[in-house]
Amino acid sequence: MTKKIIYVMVSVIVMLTACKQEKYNKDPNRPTEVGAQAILPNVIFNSFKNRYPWQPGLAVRQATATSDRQAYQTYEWANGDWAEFNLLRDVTKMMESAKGAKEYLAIGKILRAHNFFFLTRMYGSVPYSDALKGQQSNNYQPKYDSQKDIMLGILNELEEANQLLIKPEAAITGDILYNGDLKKWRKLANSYKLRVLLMLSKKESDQDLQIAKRFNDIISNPGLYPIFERDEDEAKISYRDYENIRYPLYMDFNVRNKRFIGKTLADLLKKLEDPRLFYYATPFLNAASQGKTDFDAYEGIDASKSLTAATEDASSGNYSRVNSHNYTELPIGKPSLGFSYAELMLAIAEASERGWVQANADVFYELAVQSSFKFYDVEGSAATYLTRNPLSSVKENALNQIYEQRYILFNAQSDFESFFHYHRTNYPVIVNGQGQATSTVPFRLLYPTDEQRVNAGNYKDALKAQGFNADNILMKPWLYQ
Amino acid sequence: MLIWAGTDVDMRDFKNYWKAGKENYEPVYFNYSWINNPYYMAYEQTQSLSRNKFFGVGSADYQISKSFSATLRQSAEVSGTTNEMKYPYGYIGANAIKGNYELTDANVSEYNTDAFIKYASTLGKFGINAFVGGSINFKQNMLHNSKTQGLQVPKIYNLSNSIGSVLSTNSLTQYARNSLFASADLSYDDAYFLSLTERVDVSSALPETNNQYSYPSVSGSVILSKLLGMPTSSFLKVRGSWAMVRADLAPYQYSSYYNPSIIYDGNNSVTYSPVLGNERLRPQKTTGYELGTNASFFGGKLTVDLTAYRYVDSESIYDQNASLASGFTRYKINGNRFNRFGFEAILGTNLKISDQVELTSTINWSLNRNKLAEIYGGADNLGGIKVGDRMDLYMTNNSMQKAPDGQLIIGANGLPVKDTELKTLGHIGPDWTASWFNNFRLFKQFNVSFLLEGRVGGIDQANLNQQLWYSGAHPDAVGPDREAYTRGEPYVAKGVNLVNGQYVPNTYKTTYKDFSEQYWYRMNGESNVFDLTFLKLREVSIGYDLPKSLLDKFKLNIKGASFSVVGSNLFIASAFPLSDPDIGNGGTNGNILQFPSSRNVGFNLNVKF
Repeated sequence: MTKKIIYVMVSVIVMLTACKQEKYNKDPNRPTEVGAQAILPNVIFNSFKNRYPWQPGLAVRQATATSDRQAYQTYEWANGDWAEFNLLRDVTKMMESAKGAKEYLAIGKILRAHNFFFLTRMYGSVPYSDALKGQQSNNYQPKYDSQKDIMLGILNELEEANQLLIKPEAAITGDILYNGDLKKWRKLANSYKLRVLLMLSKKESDQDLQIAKRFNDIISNPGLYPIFERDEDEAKISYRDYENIRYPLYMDFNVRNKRFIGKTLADLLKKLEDPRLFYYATPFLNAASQGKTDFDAYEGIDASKSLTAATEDASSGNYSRVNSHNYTELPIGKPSLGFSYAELMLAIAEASERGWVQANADVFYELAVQSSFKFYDVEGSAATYLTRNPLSSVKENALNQIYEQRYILFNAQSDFESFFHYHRTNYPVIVNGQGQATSTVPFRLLYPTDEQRVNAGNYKDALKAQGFNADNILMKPWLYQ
Repeated sequence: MLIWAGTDVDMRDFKNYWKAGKENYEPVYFNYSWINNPYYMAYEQTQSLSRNKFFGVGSADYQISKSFSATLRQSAEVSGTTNEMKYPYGYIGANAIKGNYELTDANVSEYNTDAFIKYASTLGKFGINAFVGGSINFKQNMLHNSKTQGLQVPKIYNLSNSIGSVLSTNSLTQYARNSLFASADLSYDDAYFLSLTERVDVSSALPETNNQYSYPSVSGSVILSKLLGMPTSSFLKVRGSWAMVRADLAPYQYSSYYNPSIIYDGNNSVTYSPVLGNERLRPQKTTGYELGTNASFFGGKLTVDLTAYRYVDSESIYDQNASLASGFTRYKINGNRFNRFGFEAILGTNLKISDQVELTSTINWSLNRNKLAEIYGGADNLGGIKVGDRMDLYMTNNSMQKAPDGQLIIGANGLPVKDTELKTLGHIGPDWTASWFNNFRLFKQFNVSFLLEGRVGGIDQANLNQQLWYSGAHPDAVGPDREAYTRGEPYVAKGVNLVNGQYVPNTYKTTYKDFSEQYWYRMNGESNVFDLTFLKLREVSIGYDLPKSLLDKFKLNIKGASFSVVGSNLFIASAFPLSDPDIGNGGTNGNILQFPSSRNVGFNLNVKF
């Protein structure tokens, strides 16, 4: 009898030790460690794609939404989501996975600069030096840094990237932007500095920043600080007819049905007789029957009207829609201009007008127009256009023309750049009316709701440090003061 | 159909859902931008499931001696499921304008091996039942999913018909848990009972350093009616238990991984998990006790059952919120303490009112609470919830600003102004729930029963209400204001304007449509919240047992047969607009579209051979 008990017990014990729990611990479908090149396509694509393809257009009157209230147009702005920090998580992991390979580190720094540059302009102070340390040091409540410190930090990181790329040693893979051409990444790093410095134009007198001097140093030393030399150097992402990487507005019924070209943009393009209008918009329905052709066949809707009035305009057939074929029917469409050659040319033209650099603003203005015209397949018209609209020799007029070209360039491109430049230059003139809930254009989004609950101490300190008596979209950040 | 089709749209016009001359390519409907023709969806956009399942148990019992026995048991459950999703050409949504086809194969198997040695014996007034044993639980899930990126030729639902490459993924999930346990049930004099258990688990879902955990329990009961010498027509038992429960989590959840991201020109990329894993995660722990009584008096004419429990969840495996600027949305911890307690009472009666009428009636009443007791890391709130609060609070930061006297503040555009302050307006779960069941047995052959159910307390968003206001199809949206809107007249909302620090009656104009949309759809955090209290006649049933004499006539060896007519959800009284507030019955469920209550009437035929 005891023998039988022993047999049973032994078989139980043998069975129980047969299963090795540790074998089933780790997920066999997903890695915990990868090489930097496996993360690179993701962070490049998501940094430079059109992340906000229609939202900024409503905010600066490039497009008008009808029928549904759109908060970007009515300025009923609320809490943002800091989604760029999700991207920055992957950038951080990419830099860790590079295991010291300086080529990947340089690219990581450029991507960090790009994303933090957006975050700080959209929100004000945000965590920067303490950010992204959740995994390394369990810091789940990072402190916020001032806009000025972040801008200086960004400029430093771009210079570090420049240094790391002086003599690249190893080839990289996964580079869907420049296909491994590290010279172009170096040009991007330095050109990006110019983008940042231009945004700081209201701080010309700040001795820590020395904007004019820095700008001039870069332009005058192409050997040390190579910048974009042609269209092919720009940061541009082409879309593909494949899952998750199609043109962002493809099959977007909102844009197809409820978006009209904004009056501000349409009037500007008509005044300049700018052929890019034909890509952006379609002739209004009644144009042919009214005998209107060419530029006269286009009319924009004024977004300061009440939504009801704007919607009536929309159904009247006398106003031009946003070109639904170009924006919603092509799975590939035009590439995303994350940072275009044309934008850089306009930046240098403006710096020259402001007296930061000794350069012929005319030349850069023309290069910008030619580049943008080429992008929209109308380069043949560039010469006549420039003859008709030459850069003025009067500084105020010239600056205004540069702002106009930038406004046209950024239509449906470059995310919120036209919004940030609006607050820097007050171009274009934006009037708020029945269609808006505020009397002025907001400066920023509110911090995410979670921040108030999870990071309350640092959140309150940041508001105080910026002189905001509350987290409000109408509080003016340091950058525009 | 309910929300967006105007009253002038006759759905029956769309029964023939293909456009003439464009069969299989283009559907017809009154709207081509947002929604699909329901007939087209019903017949063309189909999901199919085919499952083969095997379930088997084999066991061997061996009587070792008079008191000892041993059991070895093996069970296996293996199922293979094939799922197909078909989208026709012209489908709005799901990225399927050129149709699509998705094929999923899932193979799930679970094996359990158990071995016990049991002991049963009596020693005078003492009785003992005990067992020692172990078990191995192994689960495996193999999943393979493929889908097309549009169809070259419509109606050919095959992966080879894909425009562009087929997107495929596969995954394997495995889980193993070994356990050892011991249990002893002791009784004395058939009046005192005591149970003790202890269990040790080793789980593959936890990190190696913390994958073993043990948990005991004690429970006992006393048959008071026996001890106090109560008449045999009465029964009174008091019971209590204390238990510690430990648990693991789903497989692979404690680590951080890279997930697939975009594939660009053949460059596959990955993205890191937004929730930070914890390589030192421990099993969860719940400790608590339960007390209760079961009583029956007057030979079963009156029954009373009472239960109270209190459990504390400590060491909860929780995804704690982090500032997104840290790089992660959440991070896994063991922490946060929750106190759960509740009370349930069941009162029943079995009455013989007369020779032909018997009544069984039961009232059921229960109350449950889950409260936050402690926050990990000493923060003062957990997602807005403070220590001592219920975990099911309703909070919003999307309401409308009001003047001190409660009037709505209207801005210069004639519309309410948004209030972004985080407010707690109540809780979502009930204060208590109750039900009352009655069954009359008449003439020994008829059963007439009805069940009433109700809940008191709790609030939530009324989603259908909100959507109908948005589309203008809401019954309350019809009236003089709407007629004025159709005539093109402006609308001046009831409220106040803040002018130079003073509140003056509103004079700013807007349209009725804009105002309704703002009030009910966009700033709905407070305005679209309603009480979930309801009283429902959940079921009425009238049944008839066919007499044995009739059944015998059929000579089919039928042992019993009954026929009943059952009506469910027959009547509901609730302030909740337009939908059924009864959770679990198509009622409110977070942010999913809710449905109106539906009445069902059916019948049952039950035959026993």
